Amino acid sequence: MAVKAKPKEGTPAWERSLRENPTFAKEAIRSLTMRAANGEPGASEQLVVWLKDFPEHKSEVKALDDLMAKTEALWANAASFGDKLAEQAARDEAAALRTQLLPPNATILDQILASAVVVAYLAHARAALRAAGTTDIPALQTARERWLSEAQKRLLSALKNWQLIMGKKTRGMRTPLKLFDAAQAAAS
Amino acid sequence: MSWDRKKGGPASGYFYESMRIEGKPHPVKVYRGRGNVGQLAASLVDSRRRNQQAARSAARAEAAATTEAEKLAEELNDWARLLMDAWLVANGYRFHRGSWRFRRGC
Repeated sequence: MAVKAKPKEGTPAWERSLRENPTFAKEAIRSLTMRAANGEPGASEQLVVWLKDFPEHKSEVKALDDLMAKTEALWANAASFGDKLAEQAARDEAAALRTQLLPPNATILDQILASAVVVAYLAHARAALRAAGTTDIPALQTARERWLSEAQKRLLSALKNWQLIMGKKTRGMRTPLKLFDAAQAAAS
Repeated sequence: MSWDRKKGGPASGYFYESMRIEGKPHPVKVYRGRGNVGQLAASLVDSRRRNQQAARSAARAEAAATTEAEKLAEELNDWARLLMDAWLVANGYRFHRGSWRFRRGC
């Protein structure tokens, strides 16, 4: 099998290859968001241009899909403590929750926010089961209660993020962005 | 904790426990007794330490079971936060005093 040669540094091909790298894309979006939030002139427009180039970020979206699926599977397994039947029940519960959270024509943002809620829910279920269990070591019980409290905070935070976006979306978007357009997301 | 022998004192020594006291920047040696009382105090301190070690290793083992899942969940949350912020900023919102508000004139 022929191995694709790495493009020479500084060339337009190299710049294009950078855009396909999820880590680079993540840091570019983060940097532009921060600059735009600080009111830097032109940063908001650059961010919009970045997000409009959604079809070029196929690899990134694929990586996000994989990340969501893998994380949910791991937490379903963790919440069932190795019991296959309980794991299947956890997976079904997660799928039902995800369906409830996703609006019709869900975008990648909707999907990732819903996935974050599902993961936090499964982590909370595991922490709650652990805290309800008995142990003869008081310090371990204290640690389990602390983990449960942390899991509750994470679940609340994930739900707040999801609720914030769903609330704002009802007011409409300023610019139609391909990254957040359901038709584009479905086509990719 | 330690058994300290002193000149003219009993051969078994005096039992001291090392502990932290509020307001002191360093651990303090607290006298717990000598002879049988010292032995009893030493066994209590020893059993307490063994319990603490058992709790620590059990907690570490429980936490280790979800290390990979925790790492992935953190990455997922990071992406969710990033895309959410990007969406809000690109749509003309700004973070002001703990909440996202629509920027006027956008």
